[in-house]
Amino acid sequence: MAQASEIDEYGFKRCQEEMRFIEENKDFFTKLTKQLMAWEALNNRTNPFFKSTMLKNFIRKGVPLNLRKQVWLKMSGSQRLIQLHPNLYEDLFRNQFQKEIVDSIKIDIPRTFPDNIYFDKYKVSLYNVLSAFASHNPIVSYCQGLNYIAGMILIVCAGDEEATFWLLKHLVEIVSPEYHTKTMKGLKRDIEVVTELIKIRLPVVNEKMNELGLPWIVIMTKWFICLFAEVLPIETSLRVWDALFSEGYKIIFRTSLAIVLILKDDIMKVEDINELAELFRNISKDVRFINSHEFMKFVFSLKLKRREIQVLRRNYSSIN
Amino acid sequence: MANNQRGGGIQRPNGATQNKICQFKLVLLGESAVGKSSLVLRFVKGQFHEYQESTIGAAFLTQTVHIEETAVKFEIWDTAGQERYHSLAPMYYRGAQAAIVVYDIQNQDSFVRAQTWVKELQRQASPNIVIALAGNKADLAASRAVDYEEAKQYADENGLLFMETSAKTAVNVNEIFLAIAKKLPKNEGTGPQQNIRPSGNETNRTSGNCCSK
Ligand SMILES: Nc1nc2c(ncn2[C@@H]2O[C@H](COP(=O)(O)OP(=O)(O)OP(=O)(O)O)[C@@H](O)[C@H]2O)c(=O)[nH]1
Ligand SMILES: [Mg+2]
Repeated sequence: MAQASEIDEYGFKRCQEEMRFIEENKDFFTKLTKQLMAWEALNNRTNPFFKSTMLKNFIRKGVPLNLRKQVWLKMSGSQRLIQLHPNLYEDLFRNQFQKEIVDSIKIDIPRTFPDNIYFDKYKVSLYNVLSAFASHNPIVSYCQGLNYIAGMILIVCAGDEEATFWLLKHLVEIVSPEYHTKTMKGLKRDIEVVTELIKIRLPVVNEKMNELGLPWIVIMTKWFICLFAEVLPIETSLRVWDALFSEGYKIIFRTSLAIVLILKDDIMKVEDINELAELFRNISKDVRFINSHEFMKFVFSLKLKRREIQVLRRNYSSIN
Repeated sequence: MANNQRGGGIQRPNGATQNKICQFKLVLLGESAVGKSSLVLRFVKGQFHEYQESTIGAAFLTQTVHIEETAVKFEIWDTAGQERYHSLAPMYYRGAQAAIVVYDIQNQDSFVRAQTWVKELQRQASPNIVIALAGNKADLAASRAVDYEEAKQYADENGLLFMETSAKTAVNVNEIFLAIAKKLPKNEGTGPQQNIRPSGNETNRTSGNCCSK
């Protein structure tokens, strides 16, 4: 890797901080190359993506872009569902879509990744996938934010609409249930749960946030609705998704906690709500998050039991 | 590059001391894609994006305008317009001293929606909240669907400030924020003021009185 390109492999413009990071961290890419070779070796086996601890650990270190679609489909179980329902996606287009919903989707199409240089060619597909999903799942229908999730998947799947549809369905219905519905019940509950986790682990930080008058839900709505797309740097958010498809919802809590833990000293230093908002706005340009290896290592090092989340979820599911 | 002063109406003569700094919480409400974020971007950064990304949850920015001896600092909460984000809205307008309710002059439905926002604010927000109604995308008057007169009359009847604005051409953008700043109570606090920031625990999120002394 001689000179970092101004545009990343997904078509997004790199920020200065990322350019600098790439210049200064050649070993980061040596690591990537090594990994790529290991994945190639794995891929050449007869049953490459057989669910196993080894595969899980491979995925935790990051899936190469050219294998992502395959691995995501496999790990989420979507591949099996496509085999079971081979015509489901196609058949959705036999129905007339509801005008009001289609209109709200249309408004968001040109507003999705307007600065991405490749995205123009995916806009029709984005429209198709979102309209088909809205008609397939009337409880969610269309929620703003799904355009970013579906858009990212389309980029990774190089425009494969059917794969995008099933992966979107998995994220929305299984990984983040009732986040995107009209009541947003699941979203509110899970933000309460994270707030509680922060209260337990970082009481002073939580107090400081209260003092500043910025509730966590204000910060975290976008994190949860977009599953960190448009929040974390692109590569890092895809690494989070690698883990989301392979390990499930727990990763949402781990990632949120990791972000707050990494920022805790900065939060304590902040003097007012303006600085605080600025701090969270800059996550995508902060080298601590751009370094996806280090960030993910930290995410996986956190102690968090499924049981703890389940108990808290039960406590908070009655409110709202 | 223009700085904080760009939103200001009356420039202070060089070297004059600022007497007062007031901080107000202002919330933007209105249907999706009417131009809330674009108005904020124009006001805060003097920019316009043909394809502004949709707001998820809310965004937060600040900008200061100057009225005579007073610096009025707006804490701006730009909210998501889609109806399902509505249940989060009270969190954003709670304690707000000002609101801009936005509609798109090309879209009658967005004007109806604006009226229900106004009603909700009058019922649920702080009693003294200053509300402005903005008929945005005034540059597209050729495809207008909402009459100026109709909106003006509605605003008068409900005690709202009213302007037709364009985030694209900047028409009336600074003006609407300035008009709000003028209407906000800037009581007491006549002493000289150096410290822009309120200290950490002084958030005055609920009181109608803004001024630090
Ligand atoms: N011609 C014209 N277009 C505008 C104007 N203001 C906004 N737009 C465009 O209208 C679209 C929506 O603007 P936004 O500012 O994102 O609207 P919003 O109200 O923040 O929308 P949500 O975040 O979805 O609630 C964008 O593509 C803008 O470029 C205007 O004054 N004139
Ligand atoms: Mg917006």
